[in-house]
Amino acid sequence: MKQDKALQTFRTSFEEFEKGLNGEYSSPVHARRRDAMKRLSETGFPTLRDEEWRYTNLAALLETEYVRPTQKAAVDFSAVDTKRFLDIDQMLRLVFIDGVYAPELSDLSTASGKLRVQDLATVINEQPDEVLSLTGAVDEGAQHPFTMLNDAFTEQGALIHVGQGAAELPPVHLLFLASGGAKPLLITPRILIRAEANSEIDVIEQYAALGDGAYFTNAVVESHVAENAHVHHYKIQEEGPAAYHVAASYARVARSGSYSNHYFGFGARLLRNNLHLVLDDEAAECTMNGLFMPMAKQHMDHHTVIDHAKPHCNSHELYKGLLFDEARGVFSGKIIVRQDAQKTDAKQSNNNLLLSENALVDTKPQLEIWADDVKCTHGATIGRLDDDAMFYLRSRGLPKEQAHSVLAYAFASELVSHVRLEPLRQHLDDAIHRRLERSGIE
Amino acid sequence: MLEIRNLHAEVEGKEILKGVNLKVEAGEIHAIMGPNGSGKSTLAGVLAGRELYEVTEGEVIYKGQNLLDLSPEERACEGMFLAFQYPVEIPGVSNTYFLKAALNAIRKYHGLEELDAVDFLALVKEKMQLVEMKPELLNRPVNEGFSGGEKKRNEILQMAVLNPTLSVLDETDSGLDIDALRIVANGVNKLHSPENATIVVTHYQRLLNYIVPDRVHVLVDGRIVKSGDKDLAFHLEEQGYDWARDLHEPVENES
Repeated sequence: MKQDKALQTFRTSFEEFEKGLNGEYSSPVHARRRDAMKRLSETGFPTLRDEEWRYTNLAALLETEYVRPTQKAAVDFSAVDTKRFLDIDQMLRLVFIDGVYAPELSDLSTASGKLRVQDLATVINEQPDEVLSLTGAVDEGAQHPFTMLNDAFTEQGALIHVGQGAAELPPVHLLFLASGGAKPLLITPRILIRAEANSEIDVIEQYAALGDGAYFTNAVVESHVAENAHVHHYKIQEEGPAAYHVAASYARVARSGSYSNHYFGFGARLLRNNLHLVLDDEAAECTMNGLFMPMAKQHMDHHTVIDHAKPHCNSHELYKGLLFDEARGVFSGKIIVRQDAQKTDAKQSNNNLLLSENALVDTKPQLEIWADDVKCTHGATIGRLDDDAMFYLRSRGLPKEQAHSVLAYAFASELVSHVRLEPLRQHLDDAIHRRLERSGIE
Repeated sequence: MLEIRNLHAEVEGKEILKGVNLKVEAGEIHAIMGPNGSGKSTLAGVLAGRELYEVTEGEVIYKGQNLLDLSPEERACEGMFLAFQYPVEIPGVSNTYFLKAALNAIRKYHGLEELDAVDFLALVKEKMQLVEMKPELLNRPVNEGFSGGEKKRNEILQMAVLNPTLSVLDETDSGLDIDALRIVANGVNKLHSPENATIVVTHYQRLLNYIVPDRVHVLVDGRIVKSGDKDLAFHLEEQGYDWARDLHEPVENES
């Protein structure tokens, strides 16, 4: 019943969305949206009976009635200092307020012929074929109900096109700010990244809120990594305390290319983050690193799939959970090694630290191996702070709370050390320390 | 400085210390020797405040206050230092960060200003020479991937930086080759002063060639069965602990 009601609400929103389209109604981009809405109506949303969703209850998310943001944000953001969220010298910045592109807060002055960054609504309008060529990077995405939802409402977002051989470029920062106002909003960013051969780029995707109200971010990122290109994708999730965030990142990596995804999760009431990467040609590489620190009653669910389609590819995955209070965490990591993918080297680890008696984490590694000459390792741990280390620190004079905090920070900081942008590392260090302070263990 | 009176302690319901008496004055070095399982490490752990051990009887007076009432960190701030038999590896925490946090926690306890990075580094560099430690070990995670000798030197470096009044060295000689042993012992000797005291817990007499004790105590089955001067250690080395086991009745510590 909740499902039907939710679907009906989204359909109504979709119809309103269509009414405002005018000429775009007959465009192929919109045909794609209509197809997605139709498919979503048929499949519906997952329930706890669905294996991929058994740890995450969507009832509260689906009960909420969302409205699409209007072009004019309800809050005046002109006074917002966007630099306080992240400030890196020379970086390009696209700011979105309640999901709508805010050119007056954005800064594209360091763009060049080699690095094109545009807001997606403009690209849909001017080069719809380019948008169509970059959506649907990974086939399985079409079966994911929340990707269908994003497909249906694809309008706002960004396109990042890195030209052949372009490297040493300034990072691109995509900042999604939610007002967290009275009406729960449906925010559906779509980010398309295309890195041509021999190029390298850093993309930072950041979500933050200014208010405490409920809203729903449903984001999809698609990366196309060409031969010997390198994409470093950072996602910093600092959504508001009543926010729902369901997102998926897809990437397809060509020969000798690499894609790394660094996820840092602090905010949202309920989070589901999907990653689906395909190593599509020989010597392609990927890294999936994640840190999640839920507290109070936050629920954070991470599903990753790495598809080794071709031989001689490497993948490294490290997810760490630091759980406080009554928080709940989920990690599900699937490694698929196709029959053709000989000499695959895949490594996966998930380590969790429970800092409260009532915190809970479910971890589920899944290996599907069809090739015979491969190296796949995986390991999962769930533990508490080490008594010996605690005593060692205290015996040197550190108060119990500080010893706690030092050890919790040490556990988390490994993920920060893999970030190659120093100002971003600083931001993440601060965020982790703030979190430890708020948890009361510092 | 320290007086242990009739100390009884147990681990998981099993009594390990069965009435230890010991008195240590400022400026003294005491050695506690004993066979494996006699309670040497338990005694060191109880003094440092390890929660694993439950004190069932007796008291420990340290600088006029009841040591057993203090948390491990309060003991450290009051000048107690335990050099661990097995120093703990702490991944993700650099040695420098750890040392600085410890020193500043103790300074804060005494109402002193925290040391800034520059002053701190100068202090550590000076103290590192004492234990001939490689500078790169400072930036590595605490004890992670350190050799046995490096770990023990790191303990003495911490001791040098924190400048305790009472140091308890728990089997600091175990796992050390002769060169490392000399370096560690040399560090301990240089740190010794009329204002502080050291308790050396060891199985072998070997270490006492380098750190010469004022008093030697033999701990057998949770009690100090004999006390004497440094010659007692040589005697033990010749006779073995079986000789000490035959001393049924505990003797009063005469110092």
